[in-house]
Amino acid sequence: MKILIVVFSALVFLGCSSLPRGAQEVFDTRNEAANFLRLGDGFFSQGQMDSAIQFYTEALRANQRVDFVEGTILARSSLGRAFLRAGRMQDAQRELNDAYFDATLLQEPAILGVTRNNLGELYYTMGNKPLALEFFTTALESQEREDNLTPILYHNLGILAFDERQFDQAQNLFTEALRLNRRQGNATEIGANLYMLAQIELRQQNIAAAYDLAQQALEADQRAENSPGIGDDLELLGFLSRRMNRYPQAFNYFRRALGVATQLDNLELTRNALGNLVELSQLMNDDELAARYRELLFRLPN
Amino acid sequence: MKFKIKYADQIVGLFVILSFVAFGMVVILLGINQRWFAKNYTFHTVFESSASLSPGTSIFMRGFQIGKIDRVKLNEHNLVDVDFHIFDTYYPKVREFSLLELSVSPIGLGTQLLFHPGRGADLLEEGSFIYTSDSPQGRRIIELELADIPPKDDTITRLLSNVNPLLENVNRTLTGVNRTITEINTALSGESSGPLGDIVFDIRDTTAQVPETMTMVNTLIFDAQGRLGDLLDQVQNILGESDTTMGHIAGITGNLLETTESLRDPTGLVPRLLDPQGSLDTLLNDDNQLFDSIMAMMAELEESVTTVGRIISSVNSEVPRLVSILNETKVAIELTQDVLEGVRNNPLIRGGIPERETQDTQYNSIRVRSFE
Repeated sequence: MKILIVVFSALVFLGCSSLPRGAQEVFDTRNEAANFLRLGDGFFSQGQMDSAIQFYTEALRANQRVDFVEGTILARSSLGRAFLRAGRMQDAQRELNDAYFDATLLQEPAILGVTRNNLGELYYTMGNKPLALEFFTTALESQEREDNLTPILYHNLGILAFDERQFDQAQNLFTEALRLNRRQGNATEIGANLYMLAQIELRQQNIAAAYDLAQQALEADQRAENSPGIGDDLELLGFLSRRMNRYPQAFNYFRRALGVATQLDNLELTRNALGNLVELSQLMNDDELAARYRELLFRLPN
Repeated sequence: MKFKIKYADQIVGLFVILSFVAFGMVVILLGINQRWFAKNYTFHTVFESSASLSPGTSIFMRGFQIGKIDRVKLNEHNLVDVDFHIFDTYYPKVREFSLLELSVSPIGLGTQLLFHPGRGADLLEEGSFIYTSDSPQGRRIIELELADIPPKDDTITRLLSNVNPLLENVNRTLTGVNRTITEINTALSGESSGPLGDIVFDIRDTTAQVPETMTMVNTLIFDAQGRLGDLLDQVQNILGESDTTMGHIAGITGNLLETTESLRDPTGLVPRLLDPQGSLDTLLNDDNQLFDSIMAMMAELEESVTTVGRIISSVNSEVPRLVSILNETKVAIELTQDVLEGVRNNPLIRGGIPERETQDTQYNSIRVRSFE
């Protein structure tokens, strides 16, 4: 009996051994970098670009410390996008170009696609739409298989078509992106697709359809807790409600958009929401409220 | 971190089987402990009464339990038939001329059923009859010393055996006390030659020397009275000199008073030396406004210093607690690391833990925020 107990105990203790294994690959620094990236993404989605830049920089340094090229490219890409969102174009261009250069050396198709898309977005933001189109198209064509980037590339190509007022083509591209995103369950991107589809309906003066799509976009963004998207959706819904002469409803949407904008430190959205709130207060004959929002509007920095 | 156990079904099955095996083993161990699988040898006897006898009553031999009563039954001759068994390990003790004795404590400490092994050469067959010690055959066996009966050693005997030494000690103590009192009486009557007698003799000698000592004391007092007169004359001289010194000190005090008055006068020496149009002049000639302000500032400063002191004291008192918390946190983190390392190295779930976290980059769809 004693022998049985000893054997059973030995099995249990061996099962719970805390002895380090012999040939072990260490991932501490790479895991640390992954943590930094995840934290940076959190700040990025909340619109806190300064904090996001700090964490992306730490991730970049950690990856460089162990010469993890793949991680370095990804961290640099995130850093470049944060610079882009913060309006620091030179920094964004430097980081995204470096990432692209490293990716061309690495020759990893998925990573190369990401860096091409980022450069496309950079050049689009800088107003160089032909170069943006080239990067988006190359990225899409060089895709070996469908991944998370595929619907984004469709969407971004749709944006370029939208800007050229090729609404049918843009609608097709956004719809395709929406289909892929729904299949992949990318709630945040679904909101963006629906938002742009609503914009197309608005351009074609289909206000009711646009309102319906904007509401769907808001629901998707709220499900994903995508704060920047929620702010955009509320602003669009406010605008559409105003177009439909539903002033109290529009007022409500802009007030909510103002709340989101102030939390995200989004000056442009704050200014637009306050301007609309002033006008809507006047339209609803509430001069006191209009004066209050006007005072807030004047306090905003230029 | 996502934990995933490989072969979960097999592991659960293994543990279920192990639990059944463990349960079976526990049952077997309990059975062994309860002698379910042991051999018992049954015998038979007859008692006059069944008082203190019941099935399950233990049978002892020299303090060891060697068997139990199985059945108690009144027979047609108004005697009590008793069937009992002896454990297999003690069966070799059950020899010819063995006896059973129902031992009853005279002071109500209970009863015991005792087995006395016989001194015969042969073992008794199972089912044999064994006589009791109070039966005629049993008494005959005892008389012939054919059974091995140990001397009685009950509680009362033990208590009585302890009383005698106690009484001897008391007697010895009383004798010693009596001897001491006799010695004291002898010493006081002056007939003792021991140490106590010596002490009594010394006291008598000392008393005889007292009158002579008193005479010496009187002489010393008379001598001291003569010297005290001289000492009083010397003290008188010292007091005269002290009066002179006090006169000098009064002069110095007067000078100091004059100096202080000069310092107190705002138009006196200090303002003249320290610029009569300067801040000190203002301080002294503004109806105490500046002075009050300075005093208020000083009060605030004092209060602030007190507060700072209190804060520092509070922080100081908290430092050990903070250090303790930091230390506990450190220990907790180290423990957590150990646990995680143990979990990570556990071969049962090793494959289920992702050792390397994936890195991904940000990419979002563009939105055009313009309203036409």
